[in-house]
Amino acid sequence: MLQVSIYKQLSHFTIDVTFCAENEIIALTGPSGSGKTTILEAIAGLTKLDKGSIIVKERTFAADGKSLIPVQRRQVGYVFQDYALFPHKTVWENIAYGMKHESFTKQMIEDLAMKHLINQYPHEISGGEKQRTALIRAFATEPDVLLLDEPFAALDEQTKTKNYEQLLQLHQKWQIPVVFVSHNREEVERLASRVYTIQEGKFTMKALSSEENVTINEID
Amino acid sequence: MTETNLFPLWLSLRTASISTVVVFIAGIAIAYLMARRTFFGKNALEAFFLLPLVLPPTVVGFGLLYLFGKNGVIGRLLTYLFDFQIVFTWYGALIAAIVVSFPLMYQSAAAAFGQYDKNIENAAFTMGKSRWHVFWTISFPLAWPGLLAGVVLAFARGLGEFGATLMLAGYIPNQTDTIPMAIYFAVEAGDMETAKNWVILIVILGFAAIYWLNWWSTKRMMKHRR
Repeated sequence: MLQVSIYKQLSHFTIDVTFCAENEIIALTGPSGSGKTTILEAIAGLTKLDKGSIIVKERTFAADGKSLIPVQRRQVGYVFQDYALFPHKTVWENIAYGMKHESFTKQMIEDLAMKHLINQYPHEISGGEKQRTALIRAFATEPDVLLLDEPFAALDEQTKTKNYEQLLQLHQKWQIPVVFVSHNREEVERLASRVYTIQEGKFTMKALSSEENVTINEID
Repeated sequence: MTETNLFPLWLSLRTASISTVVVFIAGIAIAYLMARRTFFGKNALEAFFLLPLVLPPTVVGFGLLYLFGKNGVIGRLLTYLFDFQIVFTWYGALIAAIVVSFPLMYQSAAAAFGQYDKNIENAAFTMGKSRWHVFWTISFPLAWPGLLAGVVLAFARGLGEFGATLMLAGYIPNQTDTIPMAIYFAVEAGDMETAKNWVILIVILGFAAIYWLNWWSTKRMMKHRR
Protein backbone atom coordinates (compact mmCIF):
# COMPACT_ATOMS: atom_id res chain seq x y z
CA MET A 1 0.00 0.00 0.00
CA LEU A 2 1.34 3.42 -1.01
CA GLN A 3 -0.01 6.65 0.45
CA VAL A 4 1.32 9.88 -0.95
CA SER A 5 0.62 13.48 -0.05
CA ILE A 6 3.09 15.90 -1.62
CA TYR A 7 3.30 19.67 -1.36
CA LYS A 8 6.34 21.24 -2.91
CA GLN A 9 6.99 24.74 -4.21
CA LEU A 10 8.76 24.78 -7.59
CA SER A 11 9.92 27.88 -9.43
CA HIS A 12 6.75 28.36 -11.51
CA PHE A 13 4.07 26.43 -9.63
CA THR A 14 3.36 24.32 -6.58
CA ILE A 15 2.96 20.56 -6.59
CA ASP A 16 0.00 19.66 -4.40
CA VAL A 17 -1.20 16.09 -4.88
CA THR A 18 -2.59 13.26 -2.80
CA PHE A 19 -3.07 9.69 -3.96
CA CYS A 20 -2.98 6.08 -2.82
CA ALA A 21 -2.15 2.84 -4.55
CA GLU A 22 -2.69 -0.77 -3.59
CA ASN A 23 -0.55 -3.41 -5.27
CA GLU A 24 -1.55 -2.04 -8.64
CA ILE A 25 -0.08 -0.03 -11.49
CA ILE A 26 -1.09 3.61 -11.52
CA ALA A 27 -0.13 6.17 -14.13
CA LEU A 28 0.71 9.85 -13.91
CA THR A 29 0.18 11.64 -17.18
CA GLY A 30 0.28 15.25 -18.28
CA PRO A 31 2.34 17.77 -20.21
CA SER A 32 6.12 18.06 -19.84
CA GLY A 33 7.20 20.11 -16.86
CA SER A 34 3.99 19.54 -14.91
CA GLY A 35 5.75 17.93 -11.93
CA LYS A 36 5.39 14.21 -12.69
CA THR A 37 9.08 13.34 -12.30
CA THR A 38 9.32 15.45 -9.13
CA ILE A 39 6.55 13.32 -7.61
CA LEU A 40 8.54 10.15 -8.35
CA GLU A 41 11.70 11.76 -6.97
CA ALA A 42 9.86 12.76 -3.80
CA ILE A 43 8.65 9.18 -3.26
CA ALA A 44 12.18 7.87 -3.83
CA GLY A 45 13.70 10.45 -1.47
CA LEU A 46 15.73 12.19 -4.18
CA THR A 47 14.01 15.52 -3.57
CA LYS A 48 12.71 17.15 -0.38
CA LEU A 49 9.10 17.99 0.38
CA ASP A 50 7.87 21.28 1.78
CA LYS A 51 4.87 19.57 3.36
CA GLY A 52 3.21 16.20 3.15
CA SER A 53 3.87 12.58 3.88
CA ILE A 54 4.81 9.37 2.10
CA ILE A 55 3.95 5.98 3.54
CA VAL A 56 4.83 2.67 1.92
CA LYS A 57 3.83 -0.66 3.48
CA GLU A 58 3.35 0.99 6.87
CA ARG A 59 6.83 2.52 6.74
CA THR A 60 6.72 6.31 6.93
CA PHE A 61 9.29 7.65 4.45
CA ALA A 62 8.39 11.27 5.17
CA ALA A 63 6.01 13.08 7.49
CA ASP A 64 5.19 16.78 7.87
CA GLY A 65 7.54 17.44 4.97
CA LYS A 66 10.52 15.88 6.78
CA SER A 67 12.34 12.88 5.39
CA LEU A 68 12.41 10.13 8.00
CA ILE A 69 14.03 7.42 5.88
CA PRO A 70 16.88 8.26 3.46
CA VAL A 71 16.77 7.16 -0.19
CA GLN A 72 19.13 4.24 0.50
CA ARG A 73 16.77 2.62 3.00
CA ARG A 74 13.43 3.24 1.29
CA GLN A 75 13.53 0.05 -0.81
CA VAL A 76 12.24 1.85 -3.86
CA GLY A 77 12.86 0.54 -7.36
CA TYR A 78 13.36 3.35 -9.85
CA VAL A 79 13.60 3.11 -13.62
CA PHE A 80 14.83 6.48 -14.84
CA GLN A 81 13.80 8.06 -18.13
CA ASP A 82 17.15 7.37 -19.79
CA TYR A 83 17.49 4.20 -17.70
CA ALA A 84 20.62 5.53 -15.92
CA LEU A 85 22.49 2.28 -16.45
CA PHE A 86 26.08 2.26 -15.21
CA PRO A 87 27.99 2.63 -18.50
CA HIS A 88 31.20 1.09 -17.13
CA LYS A 89 29.49 -2.05 -15.85
CA THR A 90 28.13 -5.02 -17.79
CA VAL A 91 24.43 -5.87 -17.86
CA TRP A 92 24.99 -8.45 -15.12
CA GLU A 93 27.06 -6.04 -12.99
CA ASN A 94 24.30 -3.45 -13.38
CA ILE A 95 21.65 -5.91 -12.28
CA ALA A 96 23.74 -7.39 -9.46
CA TYR A 97 24.67 -3.97 -8.01
CA GLY A 98 21.73 -3.84 -5.59
CA MET A 99 20.51 -7.42 -6.00
CA LYS A 100 19.00 -9.17 -2.97
CA HIS A 101 18.70 -12.79 -4.14
CA GLU A 102 20.71 -14.18 -7.02
CA SER A 103 18.33 -17.05 -7.85
CA PHE A 104 15.30 -14.75 -8.08
CA THR A 105 17.28 -12.32 -10.25
CA LYS A 106 18.58 -15.04 -12.56
CA GLN A 107 15.05 -16.33 -13.02
CA MET A 108 13.94 -12.84 -14.05
CA ILE A 109 16.81 -12.64 -16.55
CA GLU A 110 15.68 -15.96 -18.04
CA ASP A 111 12.02 -14.93 -18.10
CA LEU A 112 12.84 -11.73 -19.96
CA ALA A 113 15.20 -13.52 -22.37
CA MET A 114 18.22 -11.44 -21.37
CA LYS A 115 20.63 -14.26 -20.51
CA HIS A 116 22.68 -13.92 -23.69
CA LEU A 117 23.33 -10.24 -22.96
CA ILE A 118 24.64 -10.35 -19.42
CA ASN A 119 28.27 -9.83 -20.39
CA GLN A 120 27.54 -6.93 -22.73
CA TYR A 121 28.02 -3.27 -21.79
CA PRO A 122 25.05 -0.87 -21.97
CA HIS A 123 26.40 0.81 -25.12
CA GLU A 124 26.43 -2.58 -26.85
CA ILE A 125 22.70 -3.36 -26.40
CA SER A 126 19.51 -1.92 -27.94
CA GLY A 127 17.12 0.58 -26.34
CA GLY A 128 14.58 -2.14 -25.53
CA GLU A 129 17.27 -4.28 -23.93
CA LYS A 130 18.49 -1.32 -21.90
CA GLN A 131 14.96 -0.76 -20.68
CA ARG A 132 14.62 -4.41 -19.67
CA THR A 133 18.00 -4.29 -17.91
CA ALA A 134 16.83 -1.25 -15.93
CA LEU A 135 13.57 -3.00 -15.08
CA ILE A 136 15.28 -6.20 -13.90
CA ARG A 137 17.84 -4.09 -12.00
CA ALA A 138 15.02 -2.32 -10.17
CA PHE A 139 13.13 -5.56 -9.42
CA ALA A 140 16.34 -7.30 -8.30
CA THR A 141 16.46 -5.01 -5.27
CA GLU A 142 13.07 -6.52 -4.32
CA PRO A 143 11.49 -3.12 -3.77
CA ASP A 144 8.35 -2.24 -1.84
CA VAL A 145 7.29 0.19 -4.56
CA LEU A 146 8.37 0.61 -8.18
CA LEU A 147 8.68 3.98 -9.91
CA LEU A 148 8.97 4.22 -13.69
CA ASP A 149 9.72 7.51 -15.42
CA GLU A 150 8.56 7.30 -19.06
CA PRO A 151 10.14 3.87 -19.33
CA PHE A 152 8.86 3.13 -22.83
CA ALA A 153 9.23 6.57 -24.43
CA ALA A 154 12.36 5.79 -26.44
CA LEU A 155 11.20 2.42 -27.78
CA ASP A 156 9.67 1.46 -31.14
CA GLU A 157 6.08 0.10 -31.21
CA GLN A 158 7.02 -3.56 -31.43
CA THR A 159 9.51 -3.38 -28.57
CA LYS A 160 7.03 -1.37 -26.52
CA THR A 161 4.35 -4.05 -26.83
CA LYS A 162 6.85 -6.73 -25.81
CA ASN A 163 8.09 -4.72 -22.84
CA TYR A 164 4.52 -3.90 -21.67
CA GLU A 165 3.90 -7.61 -21.42
CA GLN A 166 7.11 -8.13 -19.54
CA LEU A 167 6.31 -5.40 -17.03
CA LEU A 168 2.87 -6.96 -16.44
CA GLN A 169 4.53 -10.36 -16.13
CA LEU A 170 6.97 -9.10 -13.49
CA HIS A 171 4.22 -7.22 -11.66
CA GLN A 172 2.11 -10.36 -11.61
CA LYS A 173 4.92 -12.16 -9.81
CA TRP A 174 5.99 -9.31 -7.58
CA GLN A 175 2.80 -7.68 -6.34
CA ILE A 176 3.78 -4.13 -5.33
CA PRO A 177 2.47 -0.63 -6.04
CA VAL A 178 3.87 0.68 -9.34
CA VAL A 179 3.72 4.37 -10.24
CA PHE A 180 4.62 5.19 -13.79
CA VAL A 181 4.86 8.43 -15.71
CA SER A 182 3.80 8.42 -19.34
CA HIS A 183 2.67 10.62 -22.20
CA ASN A 184 1.27 7.74 -24.19
CA ARG A 185 -2.49 7.20 -23.84
CA GLU A 186 -2.46 3.67 -25.24
CA GLU A 187 0.31 2.67 -22.85
CA VAL A 188 -1.52 4.16 -19.90
CA GLU A 189 -4.79 2.40 -20.74
CA ARG A 190 -3.06 -0.89 -21.29
CA LEU A 191 -1.01 -0.95 -18.11
CA ALA A 192 -2.61 1.21 -15.47
CA SER A 193 -5.57 0.47 -13.24
CA ARG A 194 -5.85 4.17 -12.45
CA VAL A 195 -4.65 7.26 -14.27
CA TYR A 196 -4.00 10.70 -12.82
CA THR A 197 -3.68 13.64 -15.17
CA ILE A 198 -1.49 16.38 -13.77
CA GLN A 199 -1.12 19.98 -14.84
CA GLU A 200 1.12 22.52 -13.13
CA GLY A 201 1.43 20.34 -10.06
CA LYS A 202 -2.29 19.56 -9.53
CA PHE A 203 -4.39 16.57 -10.54
CA THR A 204 -7.00 17.67 -13.04
CA MET A 205 -8.49 14.33 -14.01
CA LYS A 206 -8.66 10.87 -12.57
CA ALA A 207 -9.45 8.04 -14.96
CA LEU A 208 -10.60 4.71 -13.62
CA SER A 209 -10.01 2.01 -16.12
CA SER A 210 -11.26 -1.53 -16.15
CA GLU A 211 -10.93 -4.23 -18.75
CA GLU A 212 -14.12 -3.17 -20.51
CA ASN A 213 -14.18 0.59 -20.37
CA VAL A 214 -12.46 3.74 -19.29
CA THR A 215 -14.31 6.42 -17.39
CA ILE A 216 -12.95 9.87 -16.86
CA ASN A 217 -13.90 11.67 -13.67
CA GLU A 218 -13.37 15.35 -13.11
CA ILE A 219 -11.66 15.94 -9.81
CA ASP A 220 -13.21 18.58 -7.58
CA MET B 1 75.80 17.35 -15.88
CA THR B 2 77.56 16.45 -12.66
CA GLU B 3 75.86 14.74 -9.77
CA THR B 4 75.51 17.98 -7.81
CA ASN B 5 73.65 19.88 -10.45
CA LEU B 6 71.04 17.12 -10.87
CA PHE B 7 69.49 18.50 -7.70
CA PRO B 8 66.97 20.68 -9.62
CA LEU B 9 65.61 17.56 -11.35
CA TRP B 10 65.22 15.75 -8.03
CA LEU B 11 63.60 18.77 -6.35
CA SER B 12 61.26 19.44 -9.27
CA LEU B 13 60.09 15.83 -9.38
CA ARG B 14 59.67 15.78 -5.62
CA THR B 15 57.66 19.01 -5.39
CA ALA B 16 55.57 18.19 -8.49
CA SER B 17 54.82 14.65 -7.24
CA ILE B 18 53.86 15.66 -3.70
CA SER B 19 51.83 18.66 -4.89
CA THR B 20 50.04 16.42 -7.40
CA VAL B 21 49.05 13.97 -4.65
CA VAL B 22 47.80 16.87 -2.49
CA VAL B 23 45.81 18.57 -5.26
CA PHE B 24 44.49 15.20 -6.50
CA ILE B 25 42.86 14.47 -3.14
CA ALA B 26 41.79 18.06 -2.38
CA GLY B 27 40.68 18.77 -5.96
CA ILE B 28 38.51 15.65 -6.17
CA ALA B 29 36.95 16.11 -2.73
CA ILE B 30 36.16 19.79 -3.26
CA ALA B 31 35.03 19.41 -6.88
CA TYR B 32 32.72 16.50 -5.96
CA LEU B 33 31.12 18.43 -3.13
CA MET B 34 30.79 21.57 -5.28
CA ALA B 35 29.23 19.56 -8.12
CA ARG B 36 26.62 17.98 -5.81
CA ARG B 37 25.74 20.92 -3.57
CA THR B 38 24.19 24.32 -4.10
CA PHE B 39 24.75 27.04 -1.54
CA PHE B 40 25.00 30.79 -1.27
CA GLY B 41 28.30 32.13 -2.60
CA LYS B 42 29.15 28.96 -4.58
CA ASN B 43 30.10 30.90 -7.71
CA ALA B 44 32.31 33.29 -5.74
CA LEU B 45 34.06 30.37 -4.05
CA GLU B 46 34.60 28.68 -7.41
CA ALA B 47 36.06 31.90 -8.84
CA PHE B 48 38.42 32.07 -5.84
CA PHE B 49 39.61 28.49 -6.48
CA LEU B 50 40.34 29.31 -10.12
CA LEU B 51 42.02 32.65 -9.42
CA PRO B 52 45.62 31.36 -9.60
CA LEU B 53 44.93 30.40 -13.24
CA VAL B 54 44.44 33.99 -14.32
CA LEU B 55 46.64 35.91 -11.90
CA PRO B 56 50.28 36.62 -12.69
CA PRO B 57 52.49 34.17 -10.75
CA THR B 58 54.10 37.11 -8.97
CA VAL B 59 50.70 38.08 -7.54
CA VAL B 60 50.18 34.52 -6.32
CA GLY B 61 53.71 34.62 -4.88
CA PHE B 62 52.98 37.94 -3.19
CA GLY B 63 49.80 36.51 -1.65
CA LEU B 64 51.64 33.44 -0.41
CA LEU B 65 54.42 35.60 1.01
CA TYR B 66 51.76 37.63 2.75
CA LEU B 67 50.36 34.46 4.34
CA PHE B 68 53.46 32.36 4.89
CA GLY B 69 56.13 35.06 5.29
CA LYS B 70 57.84 35.81 8.60
CA ASN B 71 55.16 38.32 9.46
CA GLY B 72 52.33 36.53 7.65
CA VAL B 73 49.35 35.08 9.50
CA ILE B 74 50.28 31.45 8.92
CA GLY B 75 54.02 32.12 8.88
CA ARG B 76 53.93 33.65 12.37
CA LEU B 77 51.75 30.83 13.66
CA LEU B 78 54.14 28.17 12.31
CA THR B 79 57.13 29.93 13.84
CA TYR B 80 55.34 30.33 17.16
CA LEU B 81 54.05 26.75 17.32
CA PHE B 82 56.79 24.72 15.71
CA ASP B 83 59.67 27.14 15.24
CA PHE B 84 59.27 26.34 11.55
CA GLN B 85 59.76 28.61 8.55
CA ILE B 86 58.40 28.11 5.05
CA VAL B 87 60.01 31.00 3.24
CA PHE B 88 63.37 30.15 1.61
CA THR B 89 62.86 26.40 2.07
CA TRP B 90 61.71 23.75 -0.42
CA TYR B 91 58.38 23.72 1.39
CA GLY B 92 57.85 27.15 -0.16
CA ALA B 93 58.34 25.59 -3.60
CA LEU B 94 55.87 22.86 -2.63
CA ILE B 95 53.20 25.31 -1.46
CA ALA B 96 53.62 27.41 -4.60
CA ALA B 97 53.26 24.28 -6.77
CA ILE B 98 50.13 23.22 -4.87
CA VAL B 99 48.47 26.63 -5.20
CA VAL B 100 49.16 27.07 -8.91
CA SER B 101 48.29 23.49 -9.90
CA PHE B 102 45.14 23.18 -7.77
CA PRO B 103 42.88 25.08 -10.23
CA LEU B 104 43.83 22.70 -13.07
CA MET B 105 42.95 19.63 -11.00
CA TYR B 106 39.82 21.27 -9.63
CA GLN B 107 38.60 22.35 -13.05
CA SER B 108 39.22 18.92 -14.60
CA ALA B 109 37.53 17.15 -11.67
CA ALA B 110 34.53 19.52 -11.67
CA ALA B 111 34.05 18.93 -15.42
CA ALA B 112 34.50 15.17 -14.94
CA PHE B 113 31.87 14.97 -12.18
CA GLY B 114 29.49 17.17 -14.15
CA GLN B 115 29.65 15.34 -17.47
CA TYR B 116 27.65 12.19 -16.70
CA ASP B 117 23.94 11.90 -15.88
CA LYS B 118 23.38 12.55 -12.16
CA ASN B 119 20.63 9.92 -12.22
CA ILE B 120 23.32 7.26 -12.61
CA GLU B 121 24.35 8.04 -9.02
CA ASN B 122 20.71 8.39 -7.96
CA ALA B 123 19.98 4.94 -9.36
CA ALA B 124 22.76 3.54 -7.18
CA PHE B 125 21.35 5.33 -4.12
CA THR B 126 17.90 3.83 -4.73
CA MET B 127 19.60 0.43 -4.72
CA GLY B 128 20.54 0.95 -1.09
CA LYS B 129 24.19 1.92 -1.49
CA SER B 130 25.89 4.53 0.71
CA ARG B 131 27.32 7.77 -0.65
CA TRP B 132 30.87 6.45 -0.01
CA HIS B 133 30.18 3.18 -1.84
CA VAL B 134 28.54 5.01 -4.76
CA PHE B 135 31.47 7.40 -4.98
CA TRP B 136 34.04 4.61 -5.34
CA THR B 137 32.02 2.27 -7.54
CA ILE B 138 30.20 4.77 -9.77
CA SER B 139 31.31 8.41 -9.54
CA PHE B 140 35.07 7.87 -9.41
CA PRO B 141 35.31 5.33 -12.28
CA LEU B 142 33.04 7.46 -14.48
CA ALA B 143 35.03 10.61 -13.75
CA TRP B 144 38.40 8.85 -14.01
CA PRO B 145 39.38 10.00 -17.55
CA GLY B 146 38.81 13.63 -16.53
CA LEU B 147 40.54 13.12 -13.21
CA LEU B 148 43.56 11.61 -14.92
CA ALA B 149 43.73 14.58 -17.29
CA GLY B 150 43.71 16.80 -14.20
CA VAL B 151 46.56 14.81 -12.65
CA VAL B 152 48.75 15.11 -15.73
CA LEU B 153 48.07 18.83 -16.12
CA ALA B 154 48.60 19.49 -12.40
CA PHE B 155 51.89 17.54 -12.45
CA ALA B 156 53.11 19.41 -15.53
CA ARG B 157 52.11 22.75 -14.00
CA GLY B 158 53.82 21.88 -10.72
CA LEU B 159 56.94 20.91 -12.62
CA GLY B 160 57.01 24.18 -14.51
CA GLU B 161 56.16 26.53 -11.63
CA PHE B 162 58.51 29.50 -11.46
CA GLY B 163 57.18 32.92 -10.45
CA ALA B 164 55.42 32.13 -7.17
CA THR B 165 58.21 29.70 -6.23
CA LEU B 166 60.84 32.38 -6.73
CA MET B 167 58.96 34.78 -4.48
CA LEU B 168 58.25 32.28 -1.72
CA ALA B 169 61.22 29.92 -1.80
CA GLY B 170 63.83 32.14 -3.42
CA TYR B 171 66.85 30.75 -5.23
CA ILE B 172 69.15 28.84 -2.95
CA PRO B 173 71.31 26.34 -4.87
CA ASN B 174 70.80 22.74 -3.72
CA GLN B 175 67.93 23.82 -1.52
CA THR B 176 65.21 25.57 -3.48
CA ASP B 177 66.43 25.43 -7.08
CA THR B 178 63.83 23.67 -9.22
CA ILE B 179 64.44 23.16 -12.97
CA PRO B 180 62.72 26.43 -14.07
CA MET B 181 64.75 28.27 -11.45
CA ALA B 182 67.97 26.59 -12.56
CA ILE B 183 67.23 27.65 -16.16
CA TYR B 184 66.64 31.28 -15.23
CA PHE B 185 69.73 31.62 -13.08
CA ALA B 186 71.93 29.67 -15.52
CA VAL B 187 70.92 32.12 -18.27
CA GLU B 188 71.51 35.05 -15.95
CA ALA B 189 74.97 33.71 -15.20
CA GLY B 190 75.65 33.24 -18.93
CA ASP B 191 75.81 29.42 -18.61
CA MET B 192 73.76 28.73 -21.73
CA GLU B 193 74.89 25.11 -21.97
CA THR B 194 73.38 24.17 -18.58
CA ALA B 195 70.25 26.20 -19.33
CA LYS B 196 69.85 24.41 -22.67
CA ASN B 197 70.13 20.96 -21.06
CA TRP B 198 67.45 21.81 -18.50
CA VAL B 199 65.22 23.29 -21.20
CA ILE B 200 65.51 20.11 -23.30
CA LEU B 201 64.73 17.95 -20.26
CA ILE B 202 61.67 19.93 -19.17
CA VAL B 203 60.33 20.11 -22.75
CA ILE B 204 60.67 16.32 -23.03
CA LEU B 205 58.92 15.80 -19.68
CA GLY B 206 56.07 18.19 -20.56
CA PHE B 207 55.68 16.80 -24.08
CA ALA B 208 55.68 13.20 -22.85
CA ALA B 209 53.00 13.98 -20.26
CA ILE B 210 50.66 15.68 -22.75
CA TYR B 211 51.36 13.16 -25.52
CA TRP B 212 50.61 10.24 -23.23
CA LEU B 213 47.42 11.92 -22.02
CA ASN B 214 46.18 12.51 -25.56
CA TRP B 215 47.05 8.97 -26.61
CA TRP B 216 45.36 7.49 -23.57
CA SER B 217 42.28 9.72 -23.95
CA THR B 218 41.75 8.69 -27.55
CA LYS B 219 42.17 5.05 -26.68
CA ARG B 220 40.17 4.82 -23.47
CA MET B 221 37.90 7.79 -22.92
CA MET B 222 35.05 6.80 -25.20
CA LYS B 223 35.17 3.09 -24.41
CA HIS B 224 32.10 2.87 -22.19
CA ARG B 225 30.30 5.99 -23.36
CA ARG B 226 26.92 5.78 -24.98
